[in-house]
Amino acid sequence: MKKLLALFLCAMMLLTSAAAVAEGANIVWAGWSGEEEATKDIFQKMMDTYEAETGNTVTWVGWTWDDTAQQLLIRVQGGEQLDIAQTDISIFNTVAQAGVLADWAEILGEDYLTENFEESALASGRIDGKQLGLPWSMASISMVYNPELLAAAGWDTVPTTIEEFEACMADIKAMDESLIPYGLSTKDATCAGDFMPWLWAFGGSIFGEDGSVTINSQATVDCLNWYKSLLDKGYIAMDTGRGDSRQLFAQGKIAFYDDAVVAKGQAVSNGVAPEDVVNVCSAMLRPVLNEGDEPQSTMWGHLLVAFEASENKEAVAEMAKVLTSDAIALEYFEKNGMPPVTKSAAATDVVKNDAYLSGFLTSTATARLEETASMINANEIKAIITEEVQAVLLGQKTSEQAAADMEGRLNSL
Amino acid sequence: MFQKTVGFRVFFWASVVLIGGFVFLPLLWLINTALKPAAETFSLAFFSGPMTLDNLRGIVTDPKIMRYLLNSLVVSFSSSFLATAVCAFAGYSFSKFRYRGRKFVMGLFMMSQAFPQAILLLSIYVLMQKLGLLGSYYALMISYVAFTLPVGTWTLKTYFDQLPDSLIESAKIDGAGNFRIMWKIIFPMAVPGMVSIAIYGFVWSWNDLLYSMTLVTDTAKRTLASGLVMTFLG
Repeated sequence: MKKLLALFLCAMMLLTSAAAVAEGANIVWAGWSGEEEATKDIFQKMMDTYEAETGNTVTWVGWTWDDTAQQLLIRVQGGEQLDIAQTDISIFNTVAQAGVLADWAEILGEDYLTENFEESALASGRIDGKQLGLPWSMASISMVYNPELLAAAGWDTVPTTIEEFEACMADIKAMDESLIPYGLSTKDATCAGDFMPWLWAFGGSIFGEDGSVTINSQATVDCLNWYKSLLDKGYIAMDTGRGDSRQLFAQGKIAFYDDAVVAKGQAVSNGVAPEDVVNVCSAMLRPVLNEGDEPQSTMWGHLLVAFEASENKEAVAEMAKVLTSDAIALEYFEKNGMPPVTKSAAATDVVKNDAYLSGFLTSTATARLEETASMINANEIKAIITEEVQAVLLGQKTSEQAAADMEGRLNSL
Repeated sequence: MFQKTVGFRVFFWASVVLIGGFVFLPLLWLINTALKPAAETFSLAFFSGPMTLDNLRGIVTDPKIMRYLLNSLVVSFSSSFLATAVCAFAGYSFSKFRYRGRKFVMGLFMMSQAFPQAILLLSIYVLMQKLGLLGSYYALMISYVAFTLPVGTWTLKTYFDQLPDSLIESAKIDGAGNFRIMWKIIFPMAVPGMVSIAIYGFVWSWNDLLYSMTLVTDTAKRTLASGLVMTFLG
């Protein structure tokens, strides 16, 4: 009887473990693009592909881009399952500083990383020698323009200096008073994001090389005065964020704005064929103050992060391989303009010869990380900059006052 | 007599127009925008130019949005009802009973208001996770009741303080128990206060974004606030 019982128990254990193997792992993937209309479908396809190839399952958890860093930290520190997530350059450091990320070199192996990714791409996700971010898509936030609108205003070439840029905006405004020539961000975190490259273009910076605050400078004052003059002339508008600009640009109400390569996704979701996007949405170099200056833009990119607390590291490795595979990466690129970072995908003709991407890649050559990118209180710094820029635009402060207040407030952090 | 002077009337109507404009203009602008075609969203036209009901039709016929609306109604009504009930019992207890630790607990209720809700998020998240309630309506309801409790309890306590103890004593002499006294005598007299707490609790739950976005991540269970943000802002 005892033998029978032992046999029965052994059989049950075998059956249970066999069932567990057959069931596969269930991993949790988090981010924001799976929530956005322009990228929802391709994200679903990524998950379907992973499930079909591995037999594992994926649960997607999404928030808005603004909330992702905070929600990732709450979830992982709250002990809720979280295996892999999408971050971008501006929030990657915040998440990494929390000490919750796993090293991709241990998950995928050092050899796999060096065989498949360029060193420059890997460097963007490396902190203190650990590969905490796996590059997924890299380019820059560049200026985007509508070639049809510019042509209608008599501009067959893009303006290259700030003086030409203003003349171009004047022509666009003269052509149609209801147009907002430039969808410069004047609210939320994107306001500070847009302000940085313009500040650089004027020769200024937020921080010096030694980390001291240097924003109270003549360059900042000039930049703020220029902002105010654009608003006074009706070339830019208050209460405009990146999302508003995207929508207005898609409706042909804006001629220029700043965006990453994802701008293509908005155009495609508004009915423009992927191959025709370049006719209504092209990247350009940011106009410079003086001829010969280096055009400014900020680095932009998405990184995948894995979590140290994850119990499904093998499944996470498989997921990362699917997400960076040529098939998925090229489809993501064709539909949403996300430039692939793996050596094999980047070497394909479809990527190398893409007219839309080439504009962004030209800007990327001189792109810099946002000055706040490696700071844990980046959001706080950006909020201060945004508030002071808005105070100037609303006429509540002079540019000199705002520059001095920015410095004072940043120093008090 | 003062009311009949011309000066007063001018002041009165000017104030009505000014305050009315301040309060209702954003609402009117919201309705104005809702009736514009998408391409005119950012135009400054105020109930002029092309108008359409397509936006409203699109919302009403969108099953996802309707699902969010239903979720919001379920969560808001439930938490509002629960909060009112708990606040009424707690307020009555603080007002009409004398026991050791009463003032201390009342102080704790008051003190809990000193913590910003965002700071409590992590501890509530962990609590809900341990209770296995994450991702459920219960997590939201319990949180909303907890946030309504301090203001609600203190408001109703003040309300109950004004009701004479002789009423309760008379009911006791007639043989009524505590629960019967509350149900049949005290609560009916405190209906206005309880309604205001119910409205307060409802509005709190209806407007919340942070907790609904954090505690519930399943799309089908999202409330209107988080659902709209995720759908249109992404």
